[in-house]
This record gives sequence, structure tokens and C-alpha cells, in this order.
Amino acid sequence: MVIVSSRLGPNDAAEAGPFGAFLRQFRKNRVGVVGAVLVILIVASAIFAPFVVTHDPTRIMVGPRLAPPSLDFILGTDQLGRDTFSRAIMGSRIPLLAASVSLSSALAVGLVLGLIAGFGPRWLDNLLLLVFDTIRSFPSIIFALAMIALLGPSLASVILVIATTSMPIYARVVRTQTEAQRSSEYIAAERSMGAGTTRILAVHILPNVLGPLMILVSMDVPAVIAVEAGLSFLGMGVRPPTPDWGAILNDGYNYIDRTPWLVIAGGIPIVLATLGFTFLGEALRDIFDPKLRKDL
Amino acid sequence: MNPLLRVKDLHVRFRTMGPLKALATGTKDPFIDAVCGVSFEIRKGETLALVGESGSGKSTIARTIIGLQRAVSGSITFDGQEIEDLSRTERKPYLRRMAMMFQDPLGSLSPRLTVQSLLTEPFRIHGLKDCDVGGEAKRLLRMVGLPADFARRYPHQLSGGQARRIGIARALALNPDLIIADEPTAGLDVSVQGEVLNLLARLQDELGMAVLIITHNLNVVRHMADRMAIMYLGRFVEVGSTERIFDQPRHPYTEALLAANPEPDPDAVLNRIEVRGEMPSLLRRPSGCEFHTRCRYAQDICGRVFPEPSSTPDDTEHSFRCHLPLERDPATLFERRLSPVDFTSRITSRHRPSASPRSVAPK
Amino acid sequence: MWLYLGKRIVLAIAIIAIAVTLLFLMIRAVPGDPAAVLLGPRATLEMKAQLHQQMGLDKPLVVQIVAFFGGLLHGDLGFDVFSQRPVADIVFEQLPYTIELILVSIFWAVMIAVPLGCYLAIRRNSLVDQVASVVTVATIAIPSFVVAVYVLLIFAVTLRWLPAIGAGNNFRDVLIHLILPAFAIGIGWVGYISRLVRASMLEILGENHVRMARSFGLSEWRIVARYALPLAILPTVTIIGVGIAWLLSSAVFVEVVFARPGIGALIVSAVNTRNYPIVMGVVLVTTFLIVTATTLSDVANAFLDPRTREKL
Repeated sequence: MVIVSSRLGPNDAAEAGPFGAFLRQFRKNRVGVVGAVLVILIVASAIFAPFVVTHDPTRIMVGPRLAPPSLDFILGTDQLGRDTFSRAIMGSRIPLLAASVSLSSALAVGLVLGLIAGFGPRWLDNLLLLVFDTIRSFPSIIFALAMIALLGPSLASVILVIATTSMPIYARVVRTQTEAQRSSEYIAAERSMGAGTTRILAVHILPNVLGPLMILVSMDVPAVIAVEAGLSFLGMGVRPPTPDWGAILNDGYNYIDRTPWLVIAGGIPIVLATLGFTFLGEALRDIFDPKLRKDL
Repeated sequence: MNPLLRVKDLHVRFRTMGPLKALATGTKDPFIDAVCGVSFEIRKGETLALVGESGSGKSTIARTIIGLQRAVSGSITFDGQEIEDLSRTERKPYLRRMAMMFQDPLGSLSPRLTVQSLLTEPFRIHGLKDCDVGGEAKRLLRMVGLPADFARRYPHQLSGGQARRIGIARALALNPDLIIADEPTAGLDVSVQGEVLNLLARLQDELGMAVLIITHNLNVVRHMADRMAIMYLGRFVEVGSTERIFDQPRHPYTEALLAANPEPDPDAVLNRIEVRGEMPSLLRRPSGCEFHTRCRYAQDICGRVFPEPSSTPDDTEHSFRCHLPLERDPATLFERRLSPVDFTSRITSRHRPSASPRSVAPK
Repeated sequence: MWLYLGKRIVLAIAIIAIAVTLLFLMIRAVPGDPAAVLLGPRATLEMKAQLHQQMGLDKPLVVQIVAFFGGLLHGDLGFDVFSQRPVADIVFEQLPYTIELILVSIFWAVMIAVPLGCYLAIRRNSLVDQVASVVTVATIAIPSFVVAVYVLLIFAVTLRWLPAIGAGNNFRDVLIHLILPAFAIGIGWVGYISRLVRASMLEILGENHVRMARSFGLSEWRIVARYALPLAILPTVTIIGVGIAWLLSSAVFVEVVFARPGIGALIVSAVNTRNYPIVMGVVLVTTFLIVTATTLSDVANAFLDPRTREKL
């Protein structure tokens, strides 16, 4: 169980050997390479968006509205005459920001709570499990909508909701892994040498838990992008005029009988991003930990 | 002279089910006594072996000494100091002076650390930062006969025998006064077993630490131990010097264990005495002498009265819990035993395959 | 066994109770007076006070929670001030539409995915299998609302083959209105279930008794259908139970896109108007659905799997 993932870890990262082996293995996975290329393109366009855009994505033009693609406006314009291509490029920033902030905070909290649940006293474990199960039993989108009803629609609400709903899954995985390690003989051996709990957690448990967790998180990126886009599509995410894929799709949906271009321009980036991150995540999992999802 | 380690009337119990389940199933006493009033001493530089079938509580004693398991009652003194009731931090200085080798040679090594890190864990745990880590690792590897370049390996690149040597080296890292070796030969090939035992014996000669060996392998005991204790259902049934017990077992259980042990001498006529049936569950301890359900010599009294330890006048160190201890001269056995005993099943030639499986089979 | 069942039921009740309390506290913790939000800026003090009393807001928090739980036991989810109707009536009026949509979606997905998974298991590592493994991952990854908008664009707006909005009146009409929404929800499940069936099928086909059957000369399809499928279908049954949360989430989007009635559309409009009682009611009902479904599938799974059954 742990040995499978033992190739991924801080100890090996320094050596060129395992990393080279990883690259060789990864290149054989053609779908994974496609995913990696897509992810690199999307992340690059988000970082360098100001240099890629052809127009100011938020400036309202007096000229053509809902225009079809032309040389000037590659993907046409929206109902306010804004350049759709520029908005789609700029729109990559919000989902990626939402994904990185929400997942890294969910990761941090989940890691700590999972370690506590897995290594702490039994009653605390049961209590935390109850909390995790409670949060997980909320239907995610409906829970998100309820939170937004309370907090008001904003990017921060979306991030908070995603972090809250994905945290229990990570915490559970960490807990399961920690508990499996806890009863293992090498932990007893460490204790017998006089090692304290902090040392055991940091030096021995954490590296074993981190690998599977990172893969899990990377596989959740597309889901987060989808949730963020979905909430923005419902008008519950970022506020206009901030460009965002879900918001563009929503504009397109509202004018779907007038022009197909907005829908196409809003949806394609979502499709490419979710596909790219999914393919990459699956490839990473296949290489490092093929059995990971089974014990969820 | 003060003994190095003294264990007195040690009791360890485990919970068998959660309180809720105990309530639901109406179990009043959801505990089992894994160790039940055990007392012994280990002197400096001495080797004591705890022998018994799996589940007899021998590993639990080791885990309690090292502090992985709490005792219900009883005392453990190390070098004159009571250590059983110490907290984890208070115990730490004593853990520097004793070390435990765990059963699973590979499983007791943290899988993501290099051999060098593993070997020097004790130094880091006990805050000995100023020592030369690389040098210490090399010294320890040399001590157990492994090449220095093993320092860069990971546990999954080691064989069972190599991992065991690393375990020995790590146990010896801080030059302890006591080593607890839980099944030091478990999971190893027979040839490697011999090497490991020789290594352990040699290092003990050189370094002079005391060793507590926990095993079900009597060849290991004969090879290593000065004294031995035979455990059954969490109690000592016979304690004494190894030589004496091998020569003249007094408890029928010991006799059966010794007889079941494969004889190294090919010409020896196999003297197989089988222990009947399974070891009773700790949940339902038999009344009277706890071995009477499987004892070939059991009489009325054995099922009724719990035997107190007794010893022979010529060797007070040799004690045993039996109403009807075996006598030195096998001839007297015939006279003393009143009930008719089927001796043809007791002494079988090695050409006759034994019909029932040996209950004291190596794992 | 009974102990386990009892434990699961207690756990489920505890989860629902905690969830309700949390929601209740969250709504109360929000700055601003819910009554003021409901009545708008031109409300007089008397109107607010009257509404407070009507909603029980003038009592202490503990009393409010207890009263709320007491109401729940009678099937009372509170009162919607906007429409002057009980929340339970509104929610349960919309719930059948959502359940109908979910059932139809999962039904067609299973009908396609199970044979597909068997086929891919038989033709494992062929070109078809490799292409399918990519396509199925893609269908899982693409969000259902994007699929919904695209099929709306293609089949309803551009080709005008199928209706774009609504739920239909008579039976035939209802079915026609379900095609596009059910497609948008089910397509991801086709991918998911077919992968699941394929994987568990391969595992079972590798086992001894199946190899034995093969050695008798039975055709591969026959082995799959007669011996392997009953076992290979088990994980699918479990996953559908757990997947109800996922289904409900897609239903929210799909109902909005196709302007269908249902609790998804209901909660979206309630969130837009800050109608807390309705939001609360929908969350409650869906949480209850999910907890029931996961508990049932856990118990069923534990009971069906001989390895866990022994431990109970």
C-alpha cells in the first residue's frame, strides 16, 4: 500500500534517477502528455494573460454587439460589445485562483485534522469523523448555494465553500493512511527508541501520507474548476464585469437564440481545462499509485 | 549485586470489545489478561529467553518493558529505578539504555528513510547532535558486517537478513545495557538465522549487554540463553537455567515443547510428545492448573487447584508450577503416574510419521 | 449485524441533527435581520415585529432550535413568507420533478454503460478499449452544465428537434422534455459506470472459477453474462447510492439551463431572492436524501460483502 507510492517523496526528489524514470514513464502515457500540454497552455495563458489579450476584456465598446468572429474580434463580441477572446483568456485566472487557494487551504486543514484523527485519542477520532461525515453529507452544490445565500455571491464565498466541502475527503484519506501507519511496527520501533509524537508525525507519517494526498488533490482540480464555473454560470460566483468562463457561458446562454459564439467561447475553455487537468491527474495517479481511489 | 531489570508481579490486560458492544452483548468483563502476575530478573550481561506459543504473552511483556504498553499492576525496575509508571518523557532517558529489536525485520524500518538515517535515528531522538552521523553509521554497519555503501539504501532494497542486521546495529547504536530481541530469527532463512544468532552472540560477548530474547524457537534458546522461562497463557510455568531445563524439564508443557523441537542430531530417536488440542482462549481460562486441559498426566487435583510455584531443593533457581512435576529419572515416571498412560504414542520412532499436526509448529 | 445497523442509523440521525443545527446557526449568524431582508427597505417597525413573531425570531435561540426540530418531526419545515405557504408543500411539490429527472438519467446511463463495460472488458486493450478509456474519462470530466448548454444549443436552438424549456404536460411530452436534460446528467455516468463495470469485470474474469468455465469452452459473452456480471455489478449498485449527491448537483444546473421545475431550480431562485426558509428546506430535504442513500448503500455493501459481513 505505501510501498507503491514510495517512489514519490522528498527523499527521492533530489536524485535524478527516479525523476528520469518518472519522465520516461510519463512520456509513454500519451493522454497524460496531452493533459500536461493543455495544463501548461492554460496556466501560461493565465499568467501572461495581459500580454495575450487583444482588447481590454472589461471595456464596453460602442461598436458591434454579439458580433460573430472577425479578424479584429477573434471570437466575436458579447452583448456589451466586449471582446470575447480577451475575456476568455482573462477568465482563466479566476478558476485557477479559486482552485489553488481553495485546494491548498483544504489540503492544509485536511492534513492537520486527518493527522489528529488518525493519531489522536479514539474519542477525538470519532468526533472528527462525525464532522467529516456531516460536511460530506451536504449535497455539494446545494450546500454551496446555501452558503452563498448567506455570505452573498463572491469569489471568496466560492473559495470558502469549495475548501470546506473538499477538506473532509482529504482529512479522511490522511486519517486512513495515518491509522494504517500508526499500528505498523516501525512506529512502535520509533516509540521504543523514545521518539515523541511530533517527531513521529513529521518524520515518519507525513512523508507517507503526502504522496497519495497530492495525487488526490491534483485530481480534484478539474472538479473545482467545474464548480467555480458552474456557480459563476448561475450568477453566484464572481461579480461582473470580472471576466470568468462561467460568466461568459451564462452570457452566451442568455443570448443563445441570437448567437452561438458566446456559448462556444465560454464553454470550450472549461472543457479544455477540465480535460487537461483530468488527463494529467489520471496519468500521475497511474504512475504513482494505481490503487489510490479504491479505498475511498 | 542489583539486577539490571526486575519485573515483579506484572499484569497486563487488553480490552476485547468496545464498551458499547460489551453493553449490548451483556459482557461484564470485556478484558483479557495477556500477562498475569509475571516476575523475573535479568542481571547485567545475562541472557534470558522467554519461550512460549504465540499468544502466550511473551511479546506483551517486552512491549510493556519498553513502554509501548501500560501495565495494570506490577512493577518494572531498571537499574534500581521504577520505570513502569513513568510518563513518556520521563522514560526517555531509560530508553537510551535499552533497545528493542522487533519481530518484523523490514517492517520495523521506516520505509522512507535511508539506512544511514535509520541507524542514526537514536542519536537524533536523544538529541546527540554533535556526533558524526556518517561516521557512526559506518561504524555500526561495520559492526554488523555490512558494507559501508549500504548507508544510502532504502529498506525496500534490503533482504530480510540485511534488514535484521540493520535492526541489530540500530539497537546497539547507543551502546545500551539491555537489548530486547523479539523473535530475532523470525522471517529469515535457516542459514541466515544462524548468522544472525552468531552475530548477536558475538556482539554480546564484545559489548557485554544483557539480552532478553523472546522466541518460540528452542534452538535459539539453547544457542543464546543463560536462563529461560516458559510461558503459558500469560504466566510462567517453569523458570530455570537453560542447561537444567533442557536436561530435566519438570513441567509437562516444557517437556512437550522440548520434544516437539526438531533435533539437530540426525541419529537421535525422535521423542515426540504431542500437546493435545489448541491452546485455550484467554477469554476462558481453564480452572485449576491452566494446562490441565492439554496435559497428558492430568489428575483430579489439576482441574481443581491452582498450582503455586515450587522448586527442587538442589536448585532453588529452578521453579515450576505443577502439582505432579516430572521426575529426574524417567523410570520413576512409570511408578508415580497412577493413571494408565499410553506410552506408545509418546515415544515414536522417527520412521513413524506423527498422525496429528504438531501444535508447537514454528510460524 | 444488528449492532452495526443500529450504529449506522444512530450515526445517520446524528449527522442530520448536526447538519440542521449548523445550518440553523449559520442562518442566524449572518449579519442583518432576515425579516428586514424579506420585507424590503420600506417595511415599518410594526411589520418587522409582526414577522419576527410569526417566524419565532423573538424567542431565545435554543427555543427556536427546539421548536424547529419539533416541527421537523411533524414534517413542518417552516413557513414561506413570500408565497404564504408552508415550505414543505413547496419543496415536496418540486421534488418529484427532480427525482424523475435523476431516475431517468441514471436509468439510461446504466442501460448503456453496463453492456459497454462488459464489451470493453472482453475486448480489453483493443483499439476500441483504448479509445473508450479516453472518451469515458472525458465524459466524466466535462461538467454537466456545459454539456447541457451545448446540447441545448445544438438540438433545441439550432436544429429545433427537441423542446428547449419546461417539463411537458402529457406522458409523451414529458418524455420528450426529459431527453436533453437526462442526456446532460447521464453522459458522465455512462463513462463512470462503464469504467467501473469494466474494471470489476476484469478482476472477476481473472479468477479461477471463471477460467474454469472458459476451459469448458463457453463463449466469452456467455461467461460474462452468466457468471461474471452478477458479481461485477455490485460496485455499481453501491456507487449509485453514494452518487446521489453528485446527481442532485447536476440536476441543479440542468434544471436551470432547461428552465425545468425541480428543487434545483427552486433553490437557485430562493438564493437569488434570499428566501432563507426555502433554502433551508431544500438543504434539509436533500441532506436527508443523501444521508439515507449513503447509509443504505453502506449497509447493503457491508451485508453483501462476505469479508465485512463476518466482522459485524
